[in-house]
Amino acid sequence: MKGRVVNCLMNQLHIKEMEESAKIVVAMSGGVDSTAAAILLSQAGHEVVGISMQVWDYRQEGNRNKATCCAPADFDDAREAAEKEGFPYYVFDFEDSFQEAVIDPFVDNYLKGLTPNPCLECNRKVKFKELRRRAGTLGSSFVATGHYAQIKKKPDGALGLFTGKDRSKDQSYFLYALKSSELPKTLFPVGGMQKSEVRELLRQNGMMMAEKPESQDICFVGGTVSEFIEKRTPEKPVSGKIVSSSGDELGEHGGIHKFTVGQRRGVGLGNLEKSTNPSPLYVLDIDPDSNQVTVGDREELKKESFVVKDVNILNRAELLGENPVLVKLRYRHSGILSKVEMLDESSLRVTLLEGFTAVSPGQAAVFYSDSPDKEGDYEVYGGGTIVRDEFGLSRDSEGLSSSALTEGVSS
Amino acid sequence: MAYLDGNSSATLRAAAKAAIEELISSSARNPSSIHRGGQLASKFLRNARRQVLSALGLDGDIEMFFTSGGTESCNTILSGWLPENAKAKTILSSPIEHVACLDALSRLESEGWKVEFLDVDSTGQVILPSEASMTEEALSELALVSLMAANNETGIIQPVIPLAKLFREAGYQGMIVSDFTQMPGKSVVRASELFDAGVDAIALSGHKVGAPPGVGAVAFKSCASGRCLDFNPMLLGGPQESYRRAGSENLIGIVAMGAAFEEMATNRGDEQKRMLELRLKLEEQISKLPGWSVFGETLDESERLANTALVQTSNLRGDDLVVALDLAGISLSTGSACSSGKQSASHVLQAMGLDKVEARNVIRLSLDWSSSESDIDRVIEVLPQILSEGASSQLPNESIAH
Repeated sequence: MKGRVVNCLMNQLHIKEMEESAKIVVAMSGGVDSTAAAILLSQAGHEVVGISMQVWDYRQEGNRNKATCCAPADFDDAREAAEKEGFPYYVFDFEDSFQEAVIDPFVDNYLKGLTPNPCLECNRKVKFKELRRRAGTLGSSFVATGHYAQIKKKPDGALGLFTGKDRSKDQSYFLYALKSSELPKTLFPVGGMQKSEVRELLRQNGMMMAEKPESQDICFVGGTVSEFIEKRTPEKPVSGKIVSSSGDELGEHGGIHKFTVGQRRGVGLGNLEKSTNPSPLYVLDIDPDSNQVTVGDREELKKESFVVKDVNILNRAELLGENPVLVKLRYRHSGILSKVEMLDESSLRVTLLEGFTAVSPGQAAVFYSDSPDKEGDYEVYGGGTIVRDEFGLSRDSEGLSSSALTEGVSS
Repeated sequence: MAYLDGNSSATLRAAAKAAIEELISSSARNPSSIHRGGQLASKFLRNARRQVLSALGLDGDIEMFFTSGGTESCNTILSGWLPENAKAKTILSSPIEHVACLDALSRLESEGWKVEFLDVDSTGQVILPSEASMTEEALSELALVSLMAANNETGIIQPVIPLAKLFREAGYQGMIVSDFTQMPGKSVVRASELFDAGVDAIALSGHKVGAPPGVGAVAFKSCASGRCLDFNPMLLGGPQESYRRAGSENLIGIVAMGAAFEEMATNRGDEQKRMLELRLKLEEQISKLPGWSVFGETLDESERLANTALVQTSNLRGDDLVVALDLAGISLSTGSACSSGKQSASHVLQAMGLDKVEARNVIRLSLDWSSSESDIDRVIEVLPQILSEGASSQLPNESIAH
C-alpha cells in the first residue's frame, strides 16, 4: 500500500519539488477524503498540520443536523485521525468570514432569483484564500484538501488544474476559481485515486470512519434551502405572479427564492398544466424587480449564448483559442461544446455549439478541454458565474428539478 | 515546553502533589462519617481550611467553605446572600467580570433582578460611581455590589477597596462581594484588606494557585464579625461545610488547595518578584515588534498582576498565533472563553472600547510560579521568527478576476 500511496502523490509532480521542511495545512472536514489526504501526506514524510474550519455554529440548529458535515462530531473523527497518525490538529474559527463570504451572498442571491452554489464561494474566498492566509501565521504556504481533482505539470512545463481520476467523483468544477499562482501551493492528495481506494486506505490505517457516508447537501443547510432563506430574511418573502413568456398571468407563487431557471417540477401550477398545457412547464426566468417567475415550454429554455462574469482564467490560450471548449453549467452536467469570447477583463460570452441545456443564473460555468490528455484527464481552463441575461428561448432534453442544481454540491 | 498560561491554570505545585499522595495513601474516608476513617478525613479537611485562611491572612472573623471551583464560588457569592427585600432589587457589577459571574448575573436578571454595570475606562479599570449618585434612595434599592479584584484577561487590578469604602461611607448596608480568584500570589493586595474595607465575601479558585482544577472556596464574614446575613445555599442535601455547601467534600482537591495556598504564601515574595521581572523583560521585547503593544503599559505596577501581559498584535489573529506558538512548544491563550474551537471576541476588551477585530488580535501571556527565564527567552526567540515566516509565506495579492 505504501508504494501506491507514494505513487498517488507522485502524480502531483510539484510535490517532488517542495522543500522537505515545508509545513502543509490540510483542511479537514472530518470526512473520508480530507482525512485520507492528511494521512497520505503525513505518511509520505511531510509536516502536516490538520485544520478543521468551524464555519457554522451547529448549536443554532439545535444540533439536529445529521445530514451535513463539519459538526463537532465530525471534528472528533479528524482529531482521532490526527492523534493516530501523530500530526497536530486544531479547529479554527471561520464563522465570521464564512458568514460574510458564503452565507450572506447565498441568501442575497436567492432573493434576487439566482441559484448560487455556495461551495464555489467557500472554496474561492474561505477555503483557499482565508485559510491560506491564516496558515501563513503558522509558517505554512501549502494548503491541501480532499478534493477529487489533480494539479499536474503540462508538457509546456506549466501547472494545470485537471479532473480527478475517479470521474464519478470529480470535483474540479468547484475549483475553477483557483488562480494559476495558487496552483504550485495547492495539493489534492486523493485526486489521483479512486474513491474505493481512499476508503481502503483508511481501513488499512485502522480508521473506522472509512465507512462514513458522504455529505451530499450544503454543509450549513439542515432542512430545505427555502426554509433556510425564509428564516434569515426578516421580512417574509414576497409572493408574486407566475406568467407565461407572452405575459399571460398563470398563477401566484410564494417567493422567487423557491425557483430555479430550468426547474420543471414544483412550479405550482399543477391543474393548470394538465388542462391547458399538454407538456410540462419549465421556469424560464426569475425577475427580482417585478417579483415574477416566467414559465414556458421546454423549447423555450433554449439559450444559444449567455454571459459569464467574475471570470477566473487558468489557461487563457486554450480558453480563447481556436478549439471549442466543453462547458459545464452545473456540477452534475456532462458538458456542452462551446466557444468563448472575452467581453472585458472579467466577463465572457459563451456560445453553445451543440444541443442545449437550461442556463441558470448564479450557477458556475466551468470550461474544460474537449479532449483528455495522455492520462485521460481533462484540463480546467477557467470559469465564472452565469448572469441573468435578457432571456432567450431554449430547448432542453433533460428535465431539471431544482434539486438537480444542488445535488452533490459537497465541496 | 514553555508554559505561559498561568491565568487559565497554574502548574501543579509540589506541595499539592504531595498532599494528594498523602491523602490517597491514608485511610481517610468520608469526612462526614463517625468512624476513624471519617475522623481522619475530617482532620485533613479542617487542616486544609486552616491552610487557606492562614495563607490569605484571614482570621476567625472570616469563615470559609469549599466548592467545586471558581465558577461555583462566583455563582454562590452572587446568589447566596440576596436579600428578601421587596425594595432592594438592583445588583451593581461590572461588564468585565469573568463569564462565570456574568452568566450568573444574566440568570438573576431573568429572575427579576435589575442588573446595572459600572463603566470601564480604556485602560481596563472600572470607574467608581460619583458620590453624588449614591443617594439614600439609590442605596436602598441596591441589593448587591460585585466587582472582581483582578481581571483574568488583562491582569489589571480593579478598585474594589476604594469601591467598598465608598459604599460603606455612604451608608450602604447590603452585600459587597468580589471574585478574588486571580489575585493570590500575584499581587501585594491582601484579601484581609478587602474585608477591612467592607467586602463581605470573596470567591477563590484552587487551580489558579497550583492545585488541580475542580476545587475552590468562598470566604465570607461570619456572624462573629457582626455581619449576619441569611445565606441561601446553591446545593442542598447534607450538612457539609456547616450547611453552606452540601455534598461529600472533594478531599483530594481540598487538601491540594490547602497545600497549594500554603506553598504560595511561603514563596510569595520570591515568586512574585521573579514573575514581575520576567514579565517586564518579555514586555520590553514585545514592544519592539512593530505595531505590537501591551495593555496596561501606562499603569503603575501596583495596578497590575505581576504575571499577566495581555498583548495587542499588529494584525494577526490571536487564535492563529496561539496555534503557531503551540507548534513551537509555547503554551498561552487569547484570554477569552472558547468552546468547540470557536473563539468569541473578548467581552472584556469590547467593554474597554475595542472593536471585534482588535479584540480578536490579542494574545495573553500569563506566567505562573514555575516560569523561568528560559521560558521567556524562548518566547522572545520564537515570536519574531513566526512573524517573519508568516510574512514570507503569503502569496502576492491579486484581484478576483484576471
